[in-house]
Amino acid sequence: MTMEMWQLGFHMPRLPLALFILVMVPVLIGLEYYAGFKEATTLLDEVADAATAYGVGIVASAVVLALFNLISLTEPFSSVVGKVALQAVPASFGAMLANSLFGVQGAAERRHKRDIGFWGTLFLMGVGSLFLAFNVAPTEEMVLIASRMTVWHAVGLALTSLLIIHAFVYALAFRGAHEAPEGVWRASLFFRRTVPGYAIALLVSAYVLWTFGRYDDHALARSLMQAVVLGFPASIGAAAARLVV
Amino acid sequence: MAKKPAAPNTSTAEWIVAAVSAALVLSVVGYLIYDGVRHPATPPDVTVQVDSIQSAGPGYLVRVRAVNRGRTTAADVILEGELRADTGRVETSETTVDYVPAGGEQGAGLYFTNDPRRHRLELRAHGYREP
Repeated sequence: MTMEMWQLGFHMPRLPLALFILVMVPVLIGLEYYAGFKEATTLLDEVADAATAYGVGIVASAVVLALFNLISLTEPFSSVVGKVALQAVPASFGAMLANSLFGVQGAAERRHKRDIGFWGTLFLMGVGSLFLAFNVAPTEEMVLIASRMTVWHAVGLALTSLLIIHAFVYALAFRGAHEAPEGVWRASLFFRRTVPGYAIALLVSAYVLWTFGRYDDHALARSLMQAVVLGFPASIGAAAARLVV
Repeated sequence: MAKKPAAPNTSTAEWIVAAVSAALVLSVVGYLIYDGVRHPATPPDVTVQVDSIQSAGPGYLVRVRAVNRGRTTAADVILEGELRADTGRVETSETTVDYVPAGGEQGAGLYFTNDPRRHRLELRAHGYREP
């Protein structure tokens, strides 16, 4: 738990935080659909499981924050709520993904059989980049790195990110884990998977940065560069999501 | 967008997403290149402006904004506000901001015990560090 996580908990803008907490609800439900901790059959089951994961996340973050003496009854209530709510986001991801990460092999195999389709792939890419971006975005290093870079470094980083995503996409397509379409022009994979993956990573990065109030300085080029910097780990998250889930 | 869940072949929707994505990525990279060509790096050029003056506690708060017109980000910028009367300096107050991004701005606040509206308020940035 980095220092920024609890600092942001009390000073980040409240409405973007509230919006983010709400955004997490459909994300968790979708994640439950593809990688939940038990075989849910109905939509209601999935919603219930997502709620459980969020609940576990909230309780776990409150307990850990209290144990670290980072929340106490003497500080403003809004500060306590902010810290717990923010920390609950990665915690609920963890609760939801525990099964696919540590679960028995059989369950994981069964999950992989679920045909995720095109929209599912995009969704998982979004969740993967959200997971990585969220964990890195609060750190001051994101601002520091972006401010050290020139735009040329940013362009280079963007191309490198594309390359990394493509390496994952290509490997998955060949391994057969990805639904590799037979007889489709192979370079089209780049446009159908890699480029959308990177676009999602950039959008998610920009959204997370905005949520954390990093875009209050009205400098477009700098904002884009921060998105590209954060987009680098987010790209890896987007590309690797399919392997983890 | 056409609703075709789990279409086996490359669907129209898939190509639309690909096209929109390509446009997004190209415009980000394109804008960065444009910005790099149009605006070569210039050193930080930080000026300080008054946003508002209000009373705060027993004294007064001047909310200021450090604006960087340069093309390089300035770190650890020391901002100083000075209240002057015809007789000379009345009071000074200062603060440090972590970053003033290139072409961007950063808000800060200065506290005074004297009413800044009754004096001449001079604001300036003392210096910066390269990030």
